[in-house]
Amino acid sequence: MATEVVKTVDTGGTGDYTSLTAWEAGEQKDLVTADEIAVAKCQCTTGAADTSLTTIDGWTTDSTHYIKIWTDPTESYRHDGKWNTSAYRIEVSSQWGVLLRIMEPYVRIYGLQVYNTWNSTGEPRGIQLDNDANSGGEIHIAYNLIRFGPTSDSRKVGIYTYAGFNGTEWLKVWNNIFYDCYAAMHMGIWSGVMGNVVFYNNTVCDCTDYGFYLALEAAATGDKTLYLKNNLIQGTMTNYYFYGAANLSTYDHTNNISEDATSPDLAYQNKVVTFVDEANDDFHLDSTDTNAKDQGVDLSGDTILAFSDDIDGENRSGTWDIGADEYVTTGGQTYEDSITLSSVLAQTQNRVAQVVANITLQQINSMIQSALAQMEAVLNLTKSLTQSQNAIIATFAEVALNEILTQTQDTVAQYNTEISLSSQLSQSQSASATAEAQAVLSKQLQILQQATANAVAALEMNLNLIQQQLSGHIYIADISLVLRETIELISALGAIKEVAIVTVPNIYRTLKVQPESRELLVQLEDRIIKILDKLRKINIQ
Amino acid sequence: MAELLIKACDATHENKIKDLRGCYKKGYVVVVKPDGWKWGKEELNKEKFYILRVKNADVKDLEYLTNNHEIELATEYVKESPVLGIHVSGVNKTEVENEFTKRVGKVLSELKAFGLDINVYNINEYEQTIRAPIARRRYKVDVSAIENNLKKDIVEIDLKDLKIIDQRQEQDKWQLK
Repeated sequence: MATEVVKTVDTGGTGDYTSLTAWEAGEQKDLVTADEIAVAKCQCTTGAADTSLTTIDGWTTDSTHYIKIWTDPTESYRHDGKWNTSAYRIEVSSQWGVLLRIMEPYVRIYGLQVYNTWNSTGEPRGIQLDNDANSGGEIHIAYNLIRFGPTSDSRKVGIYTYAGFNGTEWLKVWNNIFYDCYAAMHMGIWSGVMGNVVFYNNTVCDCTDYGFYLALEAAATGDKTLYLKNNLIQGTMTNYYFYGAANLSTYDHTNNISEDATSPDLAYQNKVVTFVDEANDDFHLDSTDTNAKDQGVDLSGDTILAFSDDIDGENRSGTWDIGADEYVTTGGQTYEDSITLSSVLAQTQNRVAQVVANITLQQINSMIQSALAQMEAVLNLTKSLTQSQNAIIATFAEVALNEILTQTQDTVAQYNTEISLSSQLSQSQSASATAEAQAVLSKQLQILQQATANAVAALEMNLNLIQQQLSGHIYIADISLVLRETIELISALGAIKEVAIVTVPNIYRTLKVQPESRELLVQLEDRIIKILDKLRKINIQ
Repeated sequence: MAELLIKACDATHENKIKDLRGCYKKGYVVVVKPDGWKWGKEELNKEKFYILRVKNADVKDLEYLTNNHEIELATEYVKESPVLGIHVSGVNKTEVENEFTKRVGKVLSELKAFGLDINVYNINEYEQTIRAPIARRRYKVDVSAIENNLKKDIVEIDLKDLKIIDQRQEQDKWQLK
């Protein structure tokens, strides 16, 4: 499994890098050869913006060796669904520039704030995809806030991709908020290639021209699939623009809201959504909204992209809401807006639970990956019969077997010297007890002695088998059965040991002063029966 | 004064085009920051970067050193009518307009045959510049004379002593055959 190499990008200077551009310059490499995942964890301890334009290029990546640029949702540097100058953000004024240009096929962008502040004519862009013509590829863009200056003079595009998009590549865009764009999502595939595009639960507001724009010429090649679900577009001239949608090989759409009549889903056209404070760019759903709240489709089991949270990291449950924000019963508000202690506590609990779940899931995932890798290594070893047998034994059994061997040897030695039931038998015979008690005790001890002898013999046999296995003289198909049986034998002998060195002497002492006492004898009989049952289960008695 | 974060070693890629376009090389200016910038731990790693402090220069004077080298391939003209379902694009503006007008006529004529008389329909038109990235950087800084000092600490030089190499110096000699 690839190693995650995490470097912090802190504009305040306390981390590894002070800009995303510097991180890219310092870390770019062949991730496949290095067997690494490159992670840029973005922070801003002083609240300063990252003012660099970044191009991700010059790497080698694949599906398990990718680039991840993100803000940790458990840290305060992740925005809370509304523009936040205390959270990490890329903020640059660039007339023709792209704030984040992606030219590698395996990149994940999570939880950034992206703002090209250029405010006049030009083509300022947020994120642009220009990929190499590699086969495959998967790009994730999620939990981001992408915005521009309010002017209508420039062609400000939130996410821009065109013929550079590889034909079999996946572009997955979910839980983002776009506003003040010319077009939020713009794909113009004239004669190039189009791969697979997923656009789920995004909120687009106040764009001058387009919310979601797709122009797909018939001459375009590639997989040409589009999955459009639970998106919310408002305050935009043409909410959804499709030219050449008939050229798509797969077009799967549902529950997409438009304020105009352009949604591909008839029942969701001409819908006005109420936000918490649209004028001040707070696009959380208001409690009074009825058109987006509980109107979405549950995507937690979606075969293309399954998820169950919203842009704030809040859990989506029940009937989903449309758009990037899931309204929660406390009001769908930010921490700053919460007015009751109980709502703050509820949100905090949700967040803590999310964090714990994320950590646990991450740990479990790491363990599973590690176990899978080990299992794969073992499976490869079994292909070579003689060498692999010894290798498997060494890998799985050696430590455990040595431990058991030591315990077994100790146990057998103890019985041979310290816990001789013969001596107990002779003691009982010479004790000052009634003849009846003596006879009962003698009989019980004889049974116990026989059981012990059988158990010890079985242990010795198992010991011998294990030693031969280790030395490679024999091969046992399921060594775990032998190990389990050995453990049970040791347990039984342990019980016998206790009887022999504790119970029997107690009986002896009791009979000495109370020859008529039978209670302890009955207890001894019970214990012996239990030991015999245990031994029967492993076919000893 | 401004501080330049300069790449101290070459990154490489087996694909020669990607190597030129995407990989940072020794001498490339990564970022330009104001004097006194609080650099991060890896940025202070002399195996990865050098930091050069330039006197008599502001950040704005030196930012051009961080530009990727792109060329303008063409301007694309787009004309479309979402209402009529027509989309025309191309690099010749006159041709695009002529073709669009022709297609509008055809569509309106067909609609009329179906009894629909359309008088109002909106038209979108825009231009977009098509650019191709060629090199990660056009310019790089020649650090050879001061490299030994750069390996130890931040070095301060005057703007007039900053040696900048234009990697396109041979461009005029290239000819299309």
